[in-house]
Amino acid sequence: MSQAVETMVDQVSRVILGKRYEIRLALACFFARGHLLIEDFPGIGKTTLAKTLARCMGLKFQRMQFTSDLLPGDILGMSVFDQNTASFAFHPGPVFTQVFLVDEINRATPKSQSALLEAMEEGQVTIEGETRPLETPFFVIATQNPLEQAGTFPLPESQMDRFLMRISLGYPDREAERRILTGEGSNGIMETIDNCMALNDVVNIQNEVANVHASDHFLTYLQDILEFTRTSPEFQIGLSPRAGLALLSASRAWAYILGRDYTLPEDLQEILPWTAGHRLKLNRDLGHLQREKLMEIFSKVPVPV
Amino acid sequence: MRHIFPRLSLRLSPPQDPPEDRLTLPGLSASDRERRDTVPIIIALVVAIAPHVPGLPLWITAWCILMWGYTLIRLKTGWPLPRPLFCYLLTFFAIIGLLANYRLAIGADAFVGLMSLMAAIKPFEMPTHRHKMITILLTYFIIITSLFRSDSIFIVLYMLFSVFVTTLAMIRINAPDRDFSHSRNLSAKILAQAVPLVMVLFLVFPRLPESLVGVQDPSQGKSGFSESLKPGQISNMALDQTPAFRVEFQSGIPRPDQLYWRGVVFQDFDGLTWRPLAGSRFLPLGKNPDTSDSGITAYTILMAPHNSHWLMALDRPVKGPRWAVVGRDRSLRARIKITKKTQYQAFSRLPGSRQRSLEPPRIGKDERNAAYKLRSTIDRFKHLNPKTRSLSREITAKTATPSEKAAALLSFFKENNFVYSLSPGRSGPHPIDDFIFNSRRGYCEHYASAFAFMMNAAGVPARVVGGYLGGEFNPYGGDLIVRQSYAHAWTEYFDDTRGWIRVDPTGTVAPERLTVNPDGSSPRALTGDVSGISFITKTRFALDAVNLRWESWFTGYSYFDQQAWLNTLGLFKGNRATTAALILLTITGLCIFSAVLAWQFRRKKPQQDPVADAYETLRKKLSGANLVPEAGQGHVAFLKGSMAKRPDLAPEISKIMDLYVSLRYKRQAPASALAEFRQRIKRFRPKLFPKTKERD
Repeated sequence: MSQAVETMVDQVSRVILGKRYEIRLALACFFARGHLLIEDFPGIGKTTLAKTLARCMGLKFQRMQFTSDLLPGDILGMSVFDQNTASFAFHPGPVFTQVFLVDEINRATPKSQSALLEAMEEGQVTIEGETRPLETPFFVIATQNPLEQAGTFPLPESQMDRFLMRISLGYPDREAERRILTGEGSNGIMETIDNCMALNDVVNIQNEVANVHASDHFLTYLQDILEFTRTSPEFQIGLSPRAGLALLSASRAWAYILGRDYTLPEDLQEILPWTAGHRLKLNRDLGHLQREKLMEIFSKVPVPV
Repeated sequence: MRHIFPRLSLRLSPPQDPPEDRLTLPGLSASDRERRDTVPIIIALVVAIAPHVPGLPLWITAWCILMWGYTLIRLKTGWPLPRPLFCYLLTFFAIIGLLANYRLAIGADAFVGLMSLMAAIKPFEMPTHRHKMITILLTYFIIITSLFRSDSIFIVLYMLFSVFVTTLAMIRINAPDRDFSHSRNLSAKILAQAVPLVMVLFLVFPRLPESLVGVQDPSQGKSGFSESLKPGQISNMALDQTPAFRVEFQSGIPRPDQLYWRGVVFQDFDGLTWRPLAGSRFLPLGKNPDTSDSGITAYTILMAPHNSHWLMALDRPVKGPRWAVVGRDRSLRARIKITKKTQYQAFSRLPGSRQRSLEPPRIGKDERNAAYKLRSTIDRFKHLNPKTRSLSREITAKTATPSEKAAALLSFFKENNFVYSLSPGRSGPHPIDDFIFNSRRGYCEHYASAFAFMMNAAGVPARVVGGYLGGEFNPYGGDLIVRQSYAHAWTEYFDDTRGWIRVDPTGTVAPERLTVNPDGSSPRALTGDVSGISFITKTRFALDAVNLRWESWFTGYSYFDQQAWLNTLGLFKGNRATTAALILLTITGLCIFSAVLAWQFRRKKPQQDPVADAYETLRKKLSGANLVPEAGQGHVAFLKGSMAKRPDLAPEISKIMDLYVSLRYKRQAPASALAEFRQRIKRFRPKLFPKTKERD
């Protein structure tokens, strides 16, 4: 168990009570330089999670509520004519930040959605012919409400692929709920969160994660998993090579969080539901791919000896 | 909208455990796994025991239903498993119940009962894969015991089905991720692959000439005749419709009134009970009679076990199978007791008419002596049935020859309103007196016994013959079924010049008994003519015909048949040495066959990788200690789980696991890692149970 990461988890847990596992997943996603999609009901604590993470790592934070009349310019920013200098001055949008929380991403039109998704993939935005790099690290946390589907534009599969992981926070358990109700983890505590690491540390961690060793045997298992999704009659389409890379980097991040500098098949199994769940669709059941169901299917792939 | 929240919340809340403990693959929960494994096992057990249910005492069936029912219900409700102590108690009560039920008759029935009782409580202790596999093997064993009950084609087909179900259950347990249709096809395939092996073993595996190794079950074959005849004995069998034997005639079928199946000959009478003559001698067998002789009928009998020596043959047998002897009283006897289904061929000479002597007039000296000895034994019991004795003398006073005396006595029965009845009522200390002077109601044994007694009293040696009369003719198979209810007794008297002559006094009272079976079926041959028969009877006949073909082939394939065809191949001569050699050869052949199979399957997965080889060894050793990985479980997760289950093995497993991880997943393994890994696995000896008596 990596000490630095555990300190961070402890800090965040002071605000988000009883969700250590999800906090670790979110951190893994961040360390793997991926983006996170949280599917949850309102009031579960998505925004708090994003804010706390940003604060804890000493990163800049922006939050944006997506609506159906949102335009790409509202996200990316635009050039405005300055009377004084008689030239166009660029006003950066909220995307120019380090931790970017997008609430209800599926309420925006596809046009706006794709503007954001391009920024996520490329790490840069092109506005009026000029390419502007985004800050590093850049971490998008998007949320959607799984219940209210009326008047939304669901993310197409291809764009779901841009998110490294999809998780749900879910309701707190009884004990955590009681602590919330007695006032623990209320808004005031956010101010007392320590800044756990410097900016450099965050980048260093991301570099270290990228260097976690994935042995031949691990890659064989990963390939077996990919192969299985492509050949098994259970799935409509198999995982793409990009999904393979996502699985690899997420496994590395998880191994790092557990304090190892090499990956195990168990790491892959752990992040598999969160990394592959939103990229796969069952042939028979078009509903939400549940974690248990997914793990049952993947238990058919033996781990190479 | 609100009502779906609880359902969704299930999905939305992933487990809360810290990740370091969650290295196992989160597959099915334990209760799901239990349900997945237990249900097929119980189905297999139910299917396997079902054919035994009619033969098992009711309480054992109830016991099975209770235990399995509880197991199934607790899968739904989550009721607790019984504690081990309670299981011991159940075992204790089961054995007490079994002893109370069977007492000392520990035969096949008691054995099957024990198996059923144990199989019923086995699902309470199937914590590991190993226990489940043991239960499956037990189920196969129970299936084979169905042959104790019957070897009819229907049972054998059912057993095949049962083997199929059990194999399916085994596949479900071992490969739960296969879908049902796939498992079903695999099970069928395995069964189909076994068929040639079964055929070869059936034909080649040496049979012993006698049932030396077979189960000698004292409880088998209780129905049928015993070695004595008392009033009421045959009428007890009058309602028993089970077949006593089946007959297939090589030549034409005799007339209904010729279908006297001779079994036991009773020559010794103490006024109450008829017994065969003690110390009567038996003759070796003669040559095969000339079948072209029109008086000789050849036929094959498939006989149900009756745990006695007698063999049935048409009155009168000339020759039986080679393992039988012919008595001086012209009855066939087997050298060993008939404790299993037996098939044999016999030849008989049938009388042309009812009055004709049964044998050509060739009366041996000792036959004559036997006849007079018989009359003297009757005289020994003068105090019994005195009224009948004097009545007999009175009736026969004016007659001279034995046949005249017989005719006089028969007309006495005819003229005095005797009634043929299944329920003649009780009799006192002089049963024949009671019958003749009071009740005048009786079954065949009363008439036969009274007639023989009266003939002896009149000075003519006479004896009672027990056997069967009639038979139900099957128009499809052309064979005759003789049921226990056709049991009959008749009389023979000795004529100095003509030998033993058959007289059936029942025929005088109830002439219809000679042409119709007691159950109303007809012994008349109706080949091809099925028009007058109801559909159900037709179906019964057809199924019966199929079954007879099967049984005569399956049961009839004996030591001699096997010797015969091996002889024609020129392989072996039928003596004990070659039998032993054949057994040895077959076992060697089996061993070689399985070795080849094992080698074949081994070659299919060549493992050049020393780490994988060593790990495979480790896995086998761990599975010997009941530690088996889940489907798709990672090796590190499996080893950690094993350490948690068996703290006594944890230090060693931990070292091996570290080596494995560094060999497989770390950037660089120490140079000595592989050697040490193999060495440690080689020395690793996990015990099945931890030393401390801590279970579960």
